[in-house]
Amino acid sequence: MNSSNIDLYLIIPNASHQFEIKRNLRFGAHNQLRNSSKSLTAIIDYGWYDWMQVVDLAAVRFLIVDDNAHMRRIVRMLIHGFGTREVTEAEDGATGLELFQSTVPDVVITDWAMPIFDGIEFIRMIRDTSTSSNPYVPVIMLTGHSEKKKVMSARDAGATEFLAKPISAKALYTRVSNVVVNPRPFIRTKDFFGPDRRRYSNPMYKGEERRSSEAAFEGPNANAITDNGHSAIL
Amino acid sequence: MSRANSYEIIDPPNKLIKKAKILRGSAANFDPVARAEQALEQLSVNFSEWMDNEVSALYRAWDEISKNGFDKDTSDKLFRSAHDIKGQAATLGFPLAGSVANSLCNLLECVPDISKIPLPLLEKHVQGIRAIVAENAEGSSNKIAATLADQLAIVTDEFLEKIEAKVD
Repeated sequence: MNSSNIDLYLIIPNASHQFEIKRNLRFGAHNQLRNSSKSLTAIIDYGWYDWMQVVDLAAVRFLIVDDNAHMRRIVRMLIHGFGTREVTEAEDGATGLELFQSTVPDVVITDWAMPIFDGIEFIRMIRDTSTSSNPYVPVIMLTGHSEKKKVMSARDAGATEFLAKPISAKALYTRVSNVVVNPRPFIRTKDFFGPDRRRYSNPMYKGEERRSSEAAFEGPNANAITDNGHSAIL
Repeated sequence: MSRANSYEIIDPPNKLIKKAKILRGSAANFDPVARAEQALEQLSVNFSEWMDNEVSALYRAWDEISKNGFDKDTSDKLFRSAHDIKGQAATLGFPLAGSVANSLCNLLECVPDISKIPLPLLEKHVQGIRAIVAENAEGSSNKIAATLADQLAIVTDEFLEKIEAKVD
């Protein structure tokens, strides 16, 4: 395959405005990007970290909910490494909800598979505006599941970010700084309440508006930009 | 609800940005990722022991199957244990044990009727994970461990394809 240069637009949402970064990247072939969601994901991840601002997280309070003590310890160490001082932990969804209501954390990191009730149920309770102490809290789903249907279930339950294990300091920091610096608006439909499932709009998209209570995402991979011009949860 | 008003967009106040200051100037030289990696490095003295604990938990779940039979309850326990290893093994230094655990999770998760799952294949996965950790096959370079992980994944995939074909 002959190599070729292509222009890639990374559209990075910001709290107050959106801007585009045009980068000329060299690939093995044009089709390689078009057909490989992995290539595209890598570039988007690189773009996020490369352009990311360094955030002082010292005063941000975290809640970690995971039934595995080793994983809680690892996540706690990473978060302390980011500069955060206040981290609370729970080993199941029920205790997590109790701590969430009493401590009102700024960011929640939760596992999926847990006893009593799982991460999905936990997120749904957090997003319940009639009972939750903060239904808008950013929630990062950290899980060993990485299948597309799981990513979409987490997103549809109201997760702000999805991070597949194994965990890395860089991947976690990218998600944490993103929820702090680039919060998304919330959407309420008949069946959904949570962060906008579209990360950003493609100004080039000319098609029909497709937002509905059903998922707008129909692309080939949960990490890819969707065919209606919006990106899905990473 | 009509299409036009079937959703509401809410812009919640961003209280977090007031707490989390964006660092500028020389303060921006702080590298949170490098610091977190250093913290993880300090923690890594425990990883070998933690991996042993995870393998013991997996074996307890397997023992329960041997003693009490393979049903929804014992299958769930084995899955949870395998899933923990799948998620953590690479961080704890045993990515190949994580690959075998991934294959074991697929086996337990993707067969609609669990009575159709061959127990010897489950056992080979459990033994494989234990062997990789017992032999201290850290990283991805141990050829025997890599072959074991590949072969278990191939056999599992072939089995799952057959099951899928029957369901179709």
